[in-house]
Amino acid sequence: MIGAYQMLPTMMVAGYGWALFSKSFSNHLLVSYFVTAICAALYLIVPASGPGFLLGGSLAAAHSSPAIGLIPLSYVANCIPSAHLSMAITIWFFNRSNVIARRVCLAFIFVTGFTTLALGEHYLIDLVLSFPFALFVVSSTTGRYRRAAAAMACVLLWLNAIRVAIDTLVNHPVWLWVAAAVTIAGSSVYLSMSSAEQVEHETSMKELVAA
Amino acid sequence: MILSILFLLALLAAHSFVGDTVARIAGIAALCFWCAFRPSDDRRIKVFFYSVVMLVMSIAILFVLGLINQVSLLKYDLYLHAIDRTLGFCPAQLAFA
Repeated sequence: MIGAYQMLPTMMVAGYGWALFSKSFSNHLLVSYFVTAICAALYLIVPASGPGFLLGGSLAAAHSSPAIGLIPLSYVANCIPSAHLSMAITIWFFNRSNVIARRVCLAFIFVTGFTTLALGEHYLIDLVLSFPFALFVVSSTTGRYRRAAAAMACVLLWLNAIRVAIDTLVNHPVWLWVAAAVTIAGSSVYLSMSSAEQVEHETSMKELVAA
Repeated sequence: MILSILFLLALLAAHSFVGDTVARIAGIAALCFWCAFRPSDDRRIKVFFYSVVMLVMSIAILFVLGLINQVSLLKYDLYLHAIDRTLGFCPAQLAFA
């Protein structure tokens, strides 16, 4: 399972290789790798290490409910949003034209989501925020800056809410669920729209080159 | 393409026995694979160049993460844990790993 979690660097190279040798190659995927590095700045807003580091060996007995507060942890703060999952989504997005690559990348998204939780590397809410962050990465690299700004605003709104309004979030579980579901669904819809627009753009570019 | 998937699966199996650093090096091994199967294609130079850039970038990110850790020793883990519990999710559910 650790192996699957650590497959990301390999998938980054493989995904780039697939994209590079496809007929509709563009440098978008490579640029997206660099854009994803913005995550490092977002980690500063709500620095956290992960349930595996918080709970340690007691991960299996984590049904406790400790009081909410800041806690000193000497581990790296690379939790929210999940760069692993957003990168997996980005690699999938830029490899949709190849059927086999698309399926492998889709499987990689599910494997990454599962392993990040199973290994205690990320909280569930980290994965929720990785969807709008992936939308931000995809939109900014393909030149859809308004959509990218909206996606980043969504991420920042979540991070700000976690930091300053945690009591409100925790005391309204239904609204929290609705907000999480809307975030994932909205991001997925816009990712699909971006996908369709990208395919249309690539087709028109091919026709232009052929002409 | 089928060969590349088999190669990735072999890497996945290999990753189960090695650490994070070796996994990154395995990424470069994947690059060599792509280069080897397109020996007459000039784009292999691009793959090589960008893979090296990615390797440097990953090291730079690790460095930045180290700096962030120095800035903020106090973490919000209990906040996120509380949200997960409110969502009905607990790490124990997947702790068999």
